[in-house]
Amino acid sequence: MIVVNELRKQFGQLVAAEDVSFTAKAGQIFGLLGPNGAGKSTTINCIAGLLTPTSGTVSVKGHDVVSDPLGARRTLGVVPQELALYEDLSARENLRFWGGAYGLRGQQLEERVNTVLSQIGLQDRAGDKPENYSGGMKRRLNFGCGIVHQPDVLLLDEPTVGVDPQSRERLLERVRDQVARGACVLYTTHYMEEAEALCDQLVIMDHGKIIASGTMDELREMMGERDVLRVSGRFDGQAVRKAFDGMAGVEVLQVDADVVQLSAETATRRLPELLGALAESGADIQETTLARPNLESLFLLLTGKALRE
Amino acid sequence: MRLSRALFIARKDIAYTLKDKTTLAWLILMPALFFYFIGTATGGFGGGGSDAPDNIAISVPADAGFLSGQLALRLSDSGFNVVTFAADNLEVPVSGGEQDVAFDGYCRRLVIPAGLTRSVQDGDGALLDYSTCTDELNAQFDEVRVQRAVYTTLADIIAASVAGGLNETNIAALNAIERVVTLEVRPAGKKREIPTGFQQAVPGTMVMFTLLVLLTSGAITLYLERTRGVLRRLASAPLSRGEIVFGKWMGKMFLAVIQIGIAMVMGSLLFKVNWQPDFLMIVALLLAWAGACTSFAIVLGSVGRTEGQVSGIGVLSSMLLGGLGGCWWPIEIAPAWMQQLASLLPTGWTMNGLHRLMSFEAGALSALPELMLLVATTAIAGIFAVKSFRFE
Ligand SMILES: Nc1ncnc2c1ncn2[C@@H]1O[C@H](COP(=O)(O)OP(=O)(O)O)[C@@H](O)[C@H]1O
Ligand SMILES: [Mg+2]
Repeated sequence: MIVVNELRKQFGQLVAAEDVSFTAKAGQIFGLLGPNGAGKSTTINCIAGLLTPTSGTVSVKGHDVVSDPLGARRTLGVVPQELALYEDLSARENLRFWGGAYGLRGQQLEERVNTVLSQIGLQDRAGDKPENYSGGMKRRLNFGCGIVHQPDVLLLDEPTVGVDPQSRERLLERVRDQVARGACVLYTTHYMEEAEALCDQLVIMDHGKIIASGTMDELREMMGERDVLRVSGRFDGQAVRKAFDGMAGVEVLQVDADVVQLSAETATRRLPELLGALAESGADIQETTLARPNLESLFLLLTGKALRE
Repeated sequence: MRLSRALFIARKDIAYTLKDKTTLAWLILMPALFFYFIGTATGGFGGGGSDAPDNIAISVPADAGFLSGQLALRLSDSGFNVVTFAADNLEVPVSGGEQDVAFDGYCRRLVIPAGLTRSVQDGDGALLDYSTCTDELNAQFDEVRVQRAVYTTLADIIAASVAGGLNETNIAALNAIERVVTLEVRPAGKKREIPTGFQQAVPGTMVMFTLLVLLTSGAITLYLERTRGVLRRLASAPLSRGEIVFGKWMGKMFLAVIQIGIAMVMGSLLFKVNWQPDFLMIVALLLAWAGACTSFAIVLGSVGRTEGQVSGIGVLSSMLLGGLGGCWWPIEIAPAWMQQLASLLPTGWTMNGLHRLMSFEAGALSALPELMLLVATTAIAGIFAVKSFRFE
């Protein structure tokens, strides 16, 4: 459905995306995970035809986005990261507008608008203007505007930013609905829990490049049989690094003044050894948690920094 | 480019613009108020209006002789409606006018001296006393017309003298002959009046408001759609850039047409403005003006950096262009340099064209140069609009 091949996008000197290649299939939620500035929006905007790639090719359902932009855009639904709504038109009018922009008219349009209104849980507020909505409601409407015409390919750029947990859950459900009817969904986020919970296939980006890709299982495997030990308290960064320097099978993922994360093989059995080393470095340990590796720890392992920053 | 898709954009654009209550106020309420205030201030219901009868009262002493009759004849040739009073009864007219309006009740008054014919026949001078209450501009104009009547009468006298003596028979014979040379006192066109009152205020205000509404409401909606990400999102829909830009242009054009339509209907019904006889040419001229305003609005909405900037530039430039182009007062009464300046401005072209068509009745083709200038402006500004159109 979406084929991105060696995509590169430069803004002047700044390389926002480089050597980005992936293929997203129908009936799949394909995730683009990465911190702010990783190049997720740049990539998705190149697919949406909003940016012209500096080099490389992008095609959607066989339509090259540069040589056949209208053909590509006809198959797309786009939900931009920034809200793009008529704040002073009602939800219903907004949905009508975007449905109309994709060629829906008359009865068919009205039916779709009503369906979407109930899907995004705004049927009771359909006549209200988004300027009177909560952040979550606006996000839901922003999402709804992208699915009125039931696109084959749906591009979602951080659709849950600034959304309360309830709205978020509801939104993720609606995203799954789209996949269930056979759409291909490209989903960018900087929330690793979201990526973990939602995506079938994932690309992790940092500084414009893909640093890891695969299914959730494949990505977990990259961590090996390692567990992640997270310790909070008060630490001296240099001393901590020194303490674990050369210790076999242990990797320091993160050292902050108040948190340290280690990845270690068979950490369960080596807990006393690891905590002992920490105590020796002069740390004041308050709380420890041992967890299965997740995307957060993978990102830490690959980049040496936390995803949330 | 598919017209149906451009029309979709246009339809949504105008619906969105008309949702705004302020826009509606500026579209309907404000022009009506401005028509009324400016029109009344510049003599709307009073004399000056082009429809007001050009009454002139003359006071004729009993012994004035046949020349007074000749003078009355020449005055009515000049387009006056002559009301004759006997000098010894200035309360009730002898002919013309209304019975209950006295000599003093008339704005233009001409007092004929006693023994006019005799004095002239004797070769002595005679002094005609003319007074008027009209404003300076119209007064000058009237004076020329009165003078023309007097000079024609003088010419009659000379001709009659040459022909064999100044007497009633010879003068009457002269009146039967068609003049070889006639002195025409009128601006270009058939009517002679510089428009005042509603005949000026309604078109003038309308022309300025078209620009004002387009440069504020029209440009601001485009600015908001751009800065709120709507245009950018639209750029990812299956619509070509051409369809979007042309659709937006048509939407704003429609706003201008609505504004002009409302103003014209209101002008006709409430203020008795006469859009004849070249109605179609007036419509063509106004459509061309609407097109120019539309192109300006797209440029402003595309290049504006803040909402304040867009509305500030919109209001200022439409006031300025309106004032300098003759929308507030007839440019014909302004100093020469202002008239020259107006002839360089699109507002000036529109107003000049309208004056020619509506007030001077110079024929439909007389406004052709203005029409072409406005069409060219629409096209050139339109090219700028296409070039400057931004989606974000
Ligand atoms: N239009 C632009 N002009 C210049 N730089 C840009 C532009 N858009 C994005 N960037 C830069 O490109 C990089 C990637 O941005 P973006 O794709 O928005 O990241 P993400 O969506 O992952 O947060 C950032 O450094 C950002 O500042
Ligand atoms: Mg982004």
